[in-house]
Amino acid sequence: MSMVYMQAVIGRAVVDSAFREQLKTNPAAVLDARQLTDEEKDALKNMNWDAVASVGTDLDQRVSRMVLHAAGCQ
Amino acid sequence: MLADLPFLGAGLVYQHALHAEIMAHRDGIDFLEVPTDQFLRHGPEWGEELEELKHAFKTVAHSLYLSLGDAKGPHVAYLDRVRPFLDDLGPAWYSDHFDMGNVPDSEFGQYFHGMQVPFTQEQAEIFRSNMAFVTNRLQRPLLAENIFYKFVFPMPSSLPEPVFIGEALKGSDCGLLLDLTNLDINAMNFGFDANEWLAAAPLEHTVEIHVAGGELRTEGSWKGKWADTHNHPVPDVVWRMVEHVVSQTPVRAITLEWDQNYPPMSVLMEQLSIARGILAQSTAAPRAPVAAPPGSGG
Repeated sequence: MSMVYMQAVIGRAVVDSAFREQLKTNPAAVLDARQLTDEEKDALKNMNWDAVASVGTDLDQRVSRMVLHAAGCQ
Repeated sequence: MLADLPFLGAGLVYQHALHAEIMAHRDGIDFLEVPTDQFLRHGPEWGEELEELKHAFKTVAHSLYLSLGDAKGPHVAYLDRVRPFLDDLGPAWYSDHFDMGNVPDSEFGQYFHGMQVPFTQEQAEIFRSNMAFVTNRLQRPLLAENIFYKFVFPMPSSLPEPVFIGEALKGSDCGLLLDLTNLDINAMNFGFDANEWLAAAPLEHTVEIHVAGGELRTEGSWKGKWADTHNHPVPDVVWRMVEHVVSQTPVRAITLEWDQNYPPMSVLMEQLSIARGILAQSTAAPRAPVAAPPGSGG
């Protein structure tokens, strides 16, 4: 069941830059109290957070593109 | 259920902006992949186009927000919005992605798609459970697609991605929507061999293949890496992979994704023609009837 908590961390990190910064600078403060396995904590401490952030940018662009298509633009 | 799926041929992702041209070229398009979310978003506003395409084409449906990898379960409210649309459309099958998309306490969650998941056994079991739930709720064939990703989880217990996909599909009646452009781009960005990936993948589950052309980013945080932008012709290396997969398993459909910077329709028709030529080798493709030899009484 710890995957629920891991996904919650990743999901929030995609859209919350302050949270992401915390994970980069002081991951233990964010992760140690959470119900994660040691392997999951290690993975989250070693994530490429810049790449995670760019997923959020892609999502913004994707939504914008859908809106543009709806308006008949390209 | 998978064994009974029909052979569809070479199709195109429906683009509302190209509706008139798609209708005019219906003889060169074997089927349409209908982007379910765009129709859900526009509802009756696109009703006339939906009626036209429904009557002119065979269809499959593709969506973004099922969140099949979500450890809390798939988006049931979303699923219940999709179901009447599918009942109306009558697609040969329905597909979404090997991703997860719930963002707790965020309105952004409704747009969330394409989120990478860890390739762990626990995560594979989550997919298996969620896909069984969706299939049971919709009573329709379901496929899941491998995604383009920008990071991987550094976890020692991770499975290789193709093995992970095999675990997610193991024992299920769900199919694989194999996006070979996503595979090619991930291989280039993360430095692995796409052919080795294919050798380890559960190709026997492949029902549909996605192809597209991506581009190399020249600026921003993804500078120097490839992105799945759906706005270029399919690279030759991807067509070679399509040939390989079609030679291994009875692929029913190849879908061209091109959803921005549209070229002339002749370019799209050429791409579909290549796909159709490869698919002719599929063991799922209908064979032309063989004439009975003279005097055989046939």
